[in-house]
Parts: sequence; C-alpha cells; structure tokens
Amino acid sequence: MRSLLLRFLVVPLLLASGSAVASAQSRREIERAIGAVKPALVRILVAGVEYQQGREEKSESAGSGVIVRPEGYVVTNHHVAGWAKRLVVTLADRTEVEADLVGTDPLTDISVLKLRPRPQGPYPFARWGDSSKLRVGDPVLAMGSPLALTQSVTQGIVSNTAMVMPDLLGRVDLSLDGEDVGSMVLWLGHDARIQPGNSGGPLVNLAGEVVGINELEYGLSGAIPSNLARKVADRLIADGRVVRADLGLRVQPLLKSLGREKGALVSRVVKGSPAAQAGLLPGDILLSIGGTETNVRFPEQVPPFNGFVASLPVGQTAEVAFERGGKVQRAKIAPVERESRLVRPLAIKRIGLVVQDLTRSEAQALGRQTPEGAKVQSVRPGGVAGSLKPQLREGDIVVAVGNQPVRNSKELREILEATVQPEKMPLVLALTFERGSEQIVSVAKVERLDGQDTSLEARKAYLGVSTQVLVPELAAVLGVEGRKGFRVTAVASGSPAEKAGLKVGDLILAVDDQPLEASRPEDAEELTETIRQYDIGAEVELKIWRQGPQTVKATLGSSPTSPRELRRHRDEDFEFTVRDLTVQDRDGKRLGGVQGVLVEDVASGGWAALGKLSAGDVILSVNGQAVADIDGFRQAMADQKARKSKFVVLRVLRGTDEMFIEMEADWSASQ
Amino acid sequence: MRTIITAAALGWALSSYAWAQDAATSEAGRQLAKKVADAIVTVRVATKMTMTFEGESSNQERKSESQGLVVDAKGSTIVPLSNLDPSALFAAIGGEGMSMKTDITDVKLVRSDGTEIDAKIVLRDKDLDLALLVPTKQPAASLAFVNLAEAGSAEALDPVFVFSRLGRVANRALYHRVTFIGSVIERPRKRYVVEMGQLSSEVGSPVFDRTGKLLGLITLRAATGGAADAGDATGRNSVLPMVVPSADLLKFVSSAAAAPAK
Repeated sequence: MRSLLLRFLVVPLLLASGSAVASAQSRREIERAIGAVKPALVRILVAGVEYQQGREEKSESAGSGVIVRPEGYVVTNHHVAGWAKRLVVTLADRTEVEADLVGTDPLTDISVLKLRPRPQGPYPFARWGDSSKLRVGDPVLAMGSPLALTQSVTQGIVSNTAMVMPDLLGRVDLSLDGEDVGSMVLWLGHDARIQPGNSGGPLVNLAGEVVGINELEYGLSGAIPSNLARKVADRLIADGRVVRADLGLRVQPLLKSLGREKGALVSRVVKGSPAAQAGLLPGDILLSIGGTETNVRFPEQVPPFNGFVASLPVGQTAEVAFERGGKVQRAKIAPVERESRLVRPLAIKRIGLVVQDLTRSEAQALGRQTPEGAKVQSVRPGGVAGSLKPQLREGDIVVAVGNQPVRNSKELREILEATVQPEKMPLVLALTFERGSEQIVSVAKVERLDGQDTSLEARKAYLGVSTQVLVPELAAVLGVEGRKGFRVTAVASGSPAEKAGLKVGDLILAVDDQPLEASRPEDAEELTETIRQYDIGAEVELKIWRQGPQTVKATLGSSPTSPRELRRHRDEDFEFTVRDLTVQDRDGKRLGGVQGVLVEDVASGGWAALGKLSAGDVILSVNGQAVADIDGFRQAMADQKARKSKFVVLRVLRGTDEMFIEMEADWSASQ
Repeated sequence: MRTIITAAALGWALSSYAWAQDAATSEAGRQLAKKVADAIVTVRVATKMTMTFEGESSNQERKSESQGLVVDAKGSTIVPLSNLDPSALFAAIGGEGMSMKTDITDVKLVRSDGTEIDAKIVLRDKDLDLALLVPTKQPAASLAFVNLAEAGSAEALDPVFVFSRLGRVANRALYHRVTFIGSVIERPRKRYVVEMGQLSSEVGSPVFDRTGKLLGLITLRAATGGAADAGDATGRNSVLPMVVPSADLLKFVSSAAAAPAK
C-alpha cells in the first residue's frame, strides 16, 4: 500500500520537475500542429431533411470537417452531412463557401463534400497521418466547432487504439441508416473533449497530421482512424460510393468452451449467399479465406475481420477453409457486392405518406421472396393516407393500389399521383398492404385534399382598453380608498375608448350606472364581460375617476379582427409566412404608423431560417422595395423571383432594433 | 324499546323514499337519454399545429376525437374549441417565448351508427370555449338535435344528467351519469360547475336539468389577466371545466348567421 501511495505522489512530482522545459517544447509542437491543420479546418452548416408524420421536413444542424485535397474535398461524418440538401461551409478565414455532397458511407460514418471553386484558387488542406502508428499516451488535438462555435481546439492523449462498444452495459450499437458502424470501425479512444458540433472534425497528432475523424463521445471521445477514413474518402471521391464484398456470413469471437485460440466462429449464414453456396454452416470454425488466416477471439477482432471480408475482390473466387466436427474442409467461395442498407425515403406529398424501398436483406429477414413493394415509414395524420381504414402503420408494405401491383416506392408515387387528382374526386382509394403474415386491404373515401380552416371568430362588443383591478391597496395609493373598479393601463389606437377620450390612469368605476365590483385579481374580467353583454354599436356611459368623478360616453365597436383571420402569404421558396399587422401588433410592438408585414412563422431549415429571419420580425422592405402590406410583399417577392435575384435582403424591425436579413436564393427548386 | 322501534320505522320510511326518488331519477335519465342520444356525436378532427420557439417554427399534425352536440336538423354542432384547437388554451397556460398556431384541416362528425359526415368550423369563441361546426353538404335526412331554445335551470345541489359519448374501445356507447350542481358562478358571467366523471372526458358533454331541459355544455374556462395565477402549481386558478348555460350557447349559434361569410 505504501509503495502504491509513493508511486501516486512521486510521479506528479517527477513530471513537475521537468515541466518547464517540457511545456515550452510541447507548446511549440502544439502550435505547429494547430498551424498545419487550422487553415483546413471547416465548420459545416447543414440544411438537411428528415422524414416524419408522412412528410419531408427540412432541418438545420452543424458539424465540423477538414479539407484533405486542394480541390476542396472535405471529409466529415455521414451523420453530419449524409442527408444534406444544402451545405454552407465556413472556412478558417471565416469566409462562407457552398459545398456539394460527393458521397456518403453510413457503415463507416464518413461523408465527403466538395467546396465550390473559388477565385483565389486551391484550398489549404491537411495531410493524413498513419493511425496505425498511434500508441496509447500519444498527445492528440481535437479540432472542430463544438456546439457550432467557431473553430476550436482541445487537447488530450490517445486512451485506446481499439475501442469497441462495451457488451458489459448491454448491447450498444451505433447504427446509422441501418448500418452498424461498430461492425467496421475500431475507434481511437482519446480524452480530448469533444461536444456535439465536433462531429466530423479532425483528430490531429503533434506532427500536424490528421490521424482520425471525431465521431462520438461515450465516456471517452471516439474517432474513426485515419487509415480507414482515408480509404473510404478516396473511394467516395473516385466513385461516389464504396464497393464492398459480401460473403453472407457473420462471425463472433470463439467460445471459451471450444478451447481453441485460432479461427472465427460462424454464427450466421444467409440463405442463398456465397457462404451458403460454399457449404458453410453456423457453428463452423472459419480458418482462412484466400490463404489469409481468420482469427476472432475477442470483440476487438470482429471489425478487422469484417474489413478484410469487405476488401475481397468482388466476383473473384477464393478458397475458404473451415473446421466442422474436428475435420478441416475446403471450398470455393465467390464474394458478391455488398448491398447498401442506405435507402432514402420518398415522400408522397399528395396523400401524406412516406415510403421506402426494401433491401434484399430486409426482405429476407421478413421471410419474403422478393423486395418488391413500398415500406411505410410514416403517415400524415391529417392527409389522405391518414384516413385509410384500417390505418397504415410504420413497417406495413404496400403491394398494390386497386388492382395495380406496386414494385417499389417510386412506382407507388406515380400510381398515387395519377389516381388521386382533385378533378377525380370524390374517389375511393384502396391500398393492399402486408403486415406480418396478413394481407390487408385499406380503403378511404377521398372527397378533397387539404381542407382550409376558414372559420371566423365570434364578434363581441369592444371598448379597447387594457386594465388592472383596483385592489384596495392600489385604491389607497391612488387616494380613492374604498372604491372598486379598474385602472386603465393602455388605450388601443383607434378604439372606441380612445375616441371617447379615455386615458391611461383613468379609473372606470361603473358602466351605465351599474357599479363595477372588481376589487380582487380574480375579478380581472368583469369589465370585459360587462362590455360583451352589450350589442356592437351600443352607446354606454362610463363613470370614471380622473382627479375626481367624471362621465364619458363611448360607442362600443366590434372586437378587432384576430390574427388568424387576417390575410397571410406563405413564401414557398424561402419557407416563411407573413401576415398583415393588427392594431394589437402596432400597440404591442409600439410600431406607430410603421408600414410592413409581420413574420408569423419561419420553417426550421428553410432558406429564411438560414438567413436568420425570425418569427415576430416586421418586414419593412424587400431588396430596397418598401412593403406596406401583404399585397405589396407578395408583389415584391414575385419581382425578386422573376429577376432570380441571388440575394434577397429584407429590412426588418426586431423589437426596437432595425436590421438587414440576407437570404440566399435557390430558384432551381422553385415552382 | 318503543323509541327504538319508532326510530327504525322512520329510518326505513326515509330510505324507501330516497330509493323511490333514485329510481324515478334513473328512469327519467334513461328516457331522456333515449331522446337525446343521437344528438350526441363524436367529432374527429385533423389539426396542423405550428409551434414557434425562439423565432423558428416546426409543424406537427394530430388527429383527435371529442364529442359535440347537434343543435339543429341540418347538423350544426357545438363543441368545446379547446378540444379541437389546443392553441385556444395555449395562450392562457403556454410558456414564455413560445407560440402556437393551428389550422384544422379536416372535420368529421361521427354518428353513433358509425356514419361520418364531412364538416367544417364556421365560428369560434375563445371566451366561451366553443366552436360551431356545420356539415359541408346538407345531410340527406334531418338529424336528431337538442333544441337550445328550451333552456333548463338549476340551483346548487340540484341533480343533473350528464351524457357522454365513449370512445371506439367502448363502441361509442352513451355514458350516463347523474350528478349535482356543485357551484353556481354568477360573476362575471353565469356558469355551473358539476363534478366531473371518471370514465371519460366530459368536456363537450351536454348537461340536462331534472326536467330534461338542456342546462348547458361543459367547456373549459381559462382564467386570464389577474385571475390566472402563474405561481399555482395545481392549475386550479387557471383552467376549470364549467357548464356554459343554454342561453349563451343559443346566442353563440345565432351569431354565426350574422357573421360575414369567408
């Protein structure tokens, strides 16, 4: 025990004794390493898509990346950029450049983007390092944009060069779009702190080389080793995809009860696969493939085995050796191309349904002969698909519309778009789908597509004052002890109250000789409710107190138009909605006579949101063209669309601030 | 001994009287239910909600069912607005910096026999928590309805009948309940409070007095201004189910005719 204690005490001291020299040296090394990579470090703003509730929705996220070639190829994570519709990359010098997705690989969580060419010429890029040379204890730097902050660096050491998800805490998978990343990647564990937003950023050694791509934080930080990331990135740059071999078998570490140290235990053989054709069975001990020994004793050896299988030449026959019942057997095996599990959903907007194709392996797992059909991903509750009876559920496989068979998602969309047309309504829609072993016909009577909510608000008599209850304490302060009623706190512009001459600070004590009884906060609605008993247009006499008793007459108006009844305009290109201003908006925001339109909602991930337009802003002008109301705004936006303006600049009021919002336009998708 | 016998006899007589009154009440309730059952319908809506938080918005859709009361032969139906449109209450109880906008994109009246009638909302009243629905096409036959002009009345502790339409799981059967007026609120406007049932949400249920006349419809009352106490964790100062009297219902429905068409 004593020696243990001594060791814990001595080691820090020893480190401290040489620390001045060491820290100066390591600081120079760190600065050199940062200097080598930082110019190539980027922050990536992603406008992506998500599919839920039967529709495609845009989303916004941010991640990190590193430029690895002077042409502007950026490596990042698949989970950062794999679903991007638009990519805006901030370089180290803070300039923004648009980028395009070159290719993505969910199995290793690597994506490659290409920055659009720039007039200044080639981009600065970082060099790859050899991740196999890393040792536990080596210093490393995690570079990126944690929490979407500007480019930042944290420091740590390599903690583990072969990190797998632990079985101890139950089965933990890192699955992305149907792919188990841990089946292919042995992470570099390190203790340089990373946060959301660091994803895709480089892990850098002190030589200023990229030795990993940061991906996850699970107690330790985890990076995809550069040797794997580089191989995948090279394939994506060359071909846009990664071709891998597949034998149709799965292995697991050898069981202790087998009492052996070499080989790999075959746990599953897919029906009809190359492994099945070669005669392999679960329980066999795989000894070699193409003369290369296969040893899987520990979980850490599974990803390298899978990597080795994936690298086999597709279609080229190899010899496989395996042991069954103590006898070694040999057979020929011809790897096939591994099927990608990444299937992009398809939104069928007209009926509010998102479907996706089935993969071969998925169909097999479901016990189907064929992957034909369209698998339901989600249903819009208020859409046509949501009215089908019985209801469609996630995982159902649509196989026919009426009598027309459906082979895939695209075909389903074509059939539905031809069938469900406004001019054909009312119509009966019948979809046949499979759910487990059942084949069910679901039917809906379709009378219209989306209904419009055009309901009106009930009109009530209206005075147009905001008030506070004249509680006894307030009455005492105001010197009107014992009186009950309301104190006027605001008078709406143009309201009957304003016309009657009511002012802030007046006390309203009675309406038409009916004394008001309000004296507790609970009585807050007495005046409003009293006024609402009258007809619109009625004349009322208000007993008020303004430095003494007075009487004012007011002709009650109609309650103002509510915001939901106002004219509004949805801009589908930039994805936001505006409406006319109400009297309440003007009073509440102290707008006075300002002309403009109010931003009611801004869709997350839309171009307006990317430009930082915010719900509640009041738009005063569009590219210098003043807008007074909805008609003016609609016209101004139509003008920009006709001109295909690259930038649309809005002058807005946000609270008391006035500012310019710059929205970049993408008219290519415009209807 | 004689005293005990007299007391026992009196007790028996009283309990018999009470039993007789209960039996009569039950029978009256059953007869009333037969008369009004078809006017109590299920209302199914699809609602598109836009939530805005810190300047950005996201959409969500949901389908929900409520109950409504048919108030004329053409199928005009009243229903608590908060059952259809959560934004009606959101302003009263919603969080700081958040707002909600809703559009009701599909409305169906589901009758007890399962037939569906396409409908639309024509009028809303946030104060009364009421919405008026009308069929998009005139129904082929007249619908059963409750006449709002035949208004009932009640005092505190009077027995009343509450009828609700149960959900699909109970085959949309009618749920009957006898309860008492727990409170009569006079200010700022007359409302009744009845004890709420346990089996189903009774917001949207009609309440009838002991003579079988409509006392009103249960809706949610949300306090505003100083009456809403943000510091009250139980919410008892913010929202409470209350019976909107028939007279207010009639005035609301009548005002739809006066409202400009949109």
